[in-house]
Amino acid sequence: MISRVALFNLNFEYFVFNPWLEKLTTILNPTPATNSTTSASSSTSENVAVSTKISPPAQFNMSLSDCTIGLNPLDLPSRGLLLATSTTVRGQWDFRDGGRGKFDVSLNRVHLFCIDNATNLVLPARPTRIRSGARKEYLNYFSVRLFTEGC
Amino acid sequence: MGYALCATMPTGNATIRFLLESARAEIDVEDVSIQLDTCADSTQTLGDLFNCLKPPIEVDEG
Repeated sequence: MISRVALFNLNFEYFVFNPWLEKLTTILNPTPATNSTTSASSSTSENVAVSTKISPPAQFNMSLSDCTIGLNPLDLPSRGLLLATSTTVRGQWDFRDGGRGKFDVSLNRVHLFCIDNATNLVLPARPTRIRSGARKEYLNYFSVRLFTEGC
Repeated sequence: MGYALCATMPTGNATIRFLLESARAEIDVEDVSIQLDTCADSTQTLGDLFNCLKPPIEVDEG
């Protein structure tokens, strides 16, 4: 599978909580092997896989021309804008049992803009975040008197 | 008023390799030159911006 994608004049937005980023994290952090023999032989099998396997022709070539990536920080009014004039991303994928993927990124004329207060700009809506299994810790003040009066 | 140009990268090549069985990643960066055009305020803004782009630490309930 060899595919080639060319993208022109597009705007991508990076938010801190991206669903695809979480999926990528789960892919890159696989569950630890429960069998000790599997984990012990993983290093040798990796070397064998890297050295002797012939990589399949799975490739992915993508070129970005005049595209912007908006950088939206968490809990900050500032905002960044990454302008990629000519960028080429090449991939070579070889997963299944072992793994090993490769990305070649070639950047040409990348500019980074930032603004300290973007509240007056028309910004894209932040995606609502639905997560399970984890809890985010915020330190907030609240009144205990409201709860004790009812008792 | 508006966006200010902070950094420019004329050229740059990077190779990222993933070896998934051991969850290892290798990143080779070459031919990179970054030109920073910042003042004191924009440096502060840039540092805060990159610091807040990473996800916060979360606590598992279980």
